[in-house]
Amino acid sequence: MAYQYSPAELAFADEVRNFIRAHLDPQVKRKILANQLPTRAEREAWQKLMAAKGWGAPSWPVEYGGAGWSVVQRHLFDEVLNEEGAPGFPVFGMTMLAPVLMKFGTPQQKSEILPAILNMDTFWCQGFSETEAGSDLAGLKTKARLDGDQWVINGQKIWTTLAHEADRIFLLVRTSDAPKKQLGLSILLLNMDTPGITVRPIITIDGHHEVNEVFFDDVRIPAGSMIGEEGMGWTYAKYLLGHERTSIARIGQSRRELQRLHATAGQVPWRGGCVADSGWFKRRHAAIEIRHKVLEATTLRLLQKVAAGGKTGGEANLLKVHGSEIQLDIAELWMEVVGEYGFAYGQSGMPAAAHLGEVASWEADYVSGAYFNSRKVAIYGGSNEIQRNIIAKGELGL
Amino acid sequence: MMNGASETQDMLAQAVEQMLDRHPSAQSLCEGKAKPDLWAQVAEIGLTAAEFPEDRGGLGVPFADIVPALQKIGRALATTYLTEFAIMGGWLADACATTLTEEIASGEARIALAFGEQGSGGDIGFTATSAVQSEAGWTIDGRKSVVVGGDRATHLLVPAMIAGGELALFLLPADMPGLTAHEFALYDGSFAADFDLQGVKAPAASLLARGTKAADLVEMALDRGRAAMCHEAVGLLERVQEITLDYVKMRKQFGQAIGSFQTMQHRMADMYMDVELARSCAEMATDAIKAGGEPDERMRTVSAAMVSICDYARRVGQSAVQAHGGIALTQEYLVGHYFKRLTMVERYLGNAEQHLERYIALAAEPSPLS
Repeated sequence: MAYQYSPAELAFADEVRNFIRAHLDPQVKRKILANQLPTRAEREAWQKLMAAKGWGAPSWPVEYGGAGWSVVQRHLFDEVLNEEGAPGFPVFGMTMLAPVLMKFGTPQQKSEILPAILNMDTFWCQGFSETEAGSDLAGLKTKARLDGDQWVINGQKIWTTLAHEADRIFLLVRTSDAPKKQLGLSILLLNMDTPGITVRPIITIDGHHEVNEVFFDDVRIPAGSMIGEEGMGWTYAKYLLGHERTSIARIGQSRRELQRLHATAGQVPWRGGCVADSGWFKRRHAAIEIRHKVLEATTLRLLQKVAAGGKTGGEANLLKVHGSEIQLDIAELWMEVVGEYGFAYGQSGMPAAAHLGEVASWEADYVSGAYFNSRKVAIYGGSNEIQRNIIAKGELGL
Repeated sequence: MMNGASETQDMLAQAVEQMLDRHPSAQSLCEGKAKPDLWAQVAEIGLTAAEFPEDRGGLGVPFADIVPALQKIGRALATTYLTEFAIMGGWLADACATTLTEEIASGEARIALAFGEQGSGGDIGFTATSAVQSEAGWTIDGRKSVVVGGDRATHLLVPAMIAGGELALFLLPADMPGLTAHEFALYDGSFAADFDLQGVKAPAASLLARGTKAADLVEMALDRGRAAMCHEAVGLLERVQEITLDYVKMRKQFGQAIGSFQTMQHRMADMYMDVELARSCAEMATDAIKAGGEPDERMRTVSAAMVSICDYARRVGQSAVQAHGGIALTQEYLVGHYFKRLTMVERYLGNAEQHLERYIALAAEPSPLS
């Protein structure tokens, strides 16, 4: 039997929804819907509000400020947040660094770092990928060598999301030339204003500045700035990347976008009617909606398994692959819906309003950027090819 | 949180599995022999009666606990006609309060729903078979196409149009004068028949339902069949995945197992994902039947499941053949027979296109969290 939400769970979802609707700044929501990042101040204000409500880091253990919710509640919470267009959590600190610290960090690291993540007093970025170490992450070359009581770091990271806004970075570096490349890695914690760090923006094809290159030139930090043991970085990194689970499927966000697509298509004229009434739109929209429905049922099946104490295998990789493919298909269908007005680039204030209606013209203004940007979802978090590799090895024994 | 397989469900599935072990089907196909018709065996286990309430000789088992047994039937590639004679035909006859319940339960009555007509596009609204009322009852004329199990049915459920474009449902003994069966074999090892109805004189009592009631009941019976078929598909897909996975681990080319090549690994990962998603579809479709509530919502959900299952059936079947190479196209090897059954599943109770159309036609305003 498939999973059915209990009345209490549905009431919980309503409570979350009502709270968000009462408190979310419409300007911030508009940015989220337009696939633009709210400012750091806007994100920080939201995170502080959530933290004050006790919802700042629901997935954490209660002792660190977690909400003590069931897996289903956590899933519903993510869903509603996504549906309502609320800013996401500061994921790098909260869902990547924090679980590793809780398991492998010193008491002092935990007490200093975790509350500041929860309240977003400190904003973290993640220094993993390098130009020659993308999917083959363990091949990374950025080095740290011990000089007295300091680590000296040299090298270069790339695709570092929001490095230009971050206060601190957790950095996967090579600390020894072990014969097996995975064994010589460690994780270091740095302040971004440490001398020798240079952040160079990378402007993506949608014209936005989100990712960066980060250069480390004889950067010196205290020897104690390491998580856990030297040489255990690969183990920690795998632990950290394994903490994404079901939220990566973006079920709530895709549901929201399917609804908005339909609403907008109803406003865009098409051969005497509107796009929403055209055969091509109906078929494509329905096909995506069906895949979304099936993925949602699959997510609930996985949650059911987790709640029953079962171990998950390839299902999490499945959610990443299919969840991202659905997002990509939605981004594509947006492009079809706005038609040639999608050619307009950037916040140009183009004259579409007269022809498309206010809502649709607003969307036409950002749809192409969102489409170009969306291609990242099949690439990041372990590309979809890497997800298939993991299924083949881990689940199928190939 | 509601969860999991019930004890009855496990018990039934286990009984079916043991029966299937005693009557191997897949092997017969590989040897070029006919496979057994296991209807009598599923009746003996009680699957045909399971759903009827206890006061009508049944076990009162919910639909959702019966259909998972179809996964075992799919895995074994067995022909039981359980979907035709029990889940669709038997249920529909019983729902119309026939006196045949005991015979359905015992397996004696094999009632086939003759819903198909050439040119109707799977829509009973386009039924061309007609029934004209007379003093003695009804005179029925028309032609029913590809009734699976029709060659061995004891009774037919016949949708026909009556005056005013109203749909009516008749129950006719298969040996009725004027009713001619044209039997033929199907590529999955099962059998079907076309029926000519020429001046069939049906007594008044053979009319079971009419109007929207008749249409709703037939649609429900078909949706039940679809949900059952989703479960059968899960069994078929699961087994195909296992066979193919074993093969790519064992088969060597260029001095190594072909499963060590990334192109094959990705093919197998895709297959794994399709099988997992198919499990969700089977649950979705079953839940829609069980809920029993709003028919539009049920049909929409079942069609969503079918659009997806048809897709997985095609993709996994074709992919398994490709992964094997030439051997998959031989009679003596298992996987080709699974491919054939999957190819039938993909089209039998409406193909992906028809279900996508039905899904769109029933479009509701998208709802927030369900």
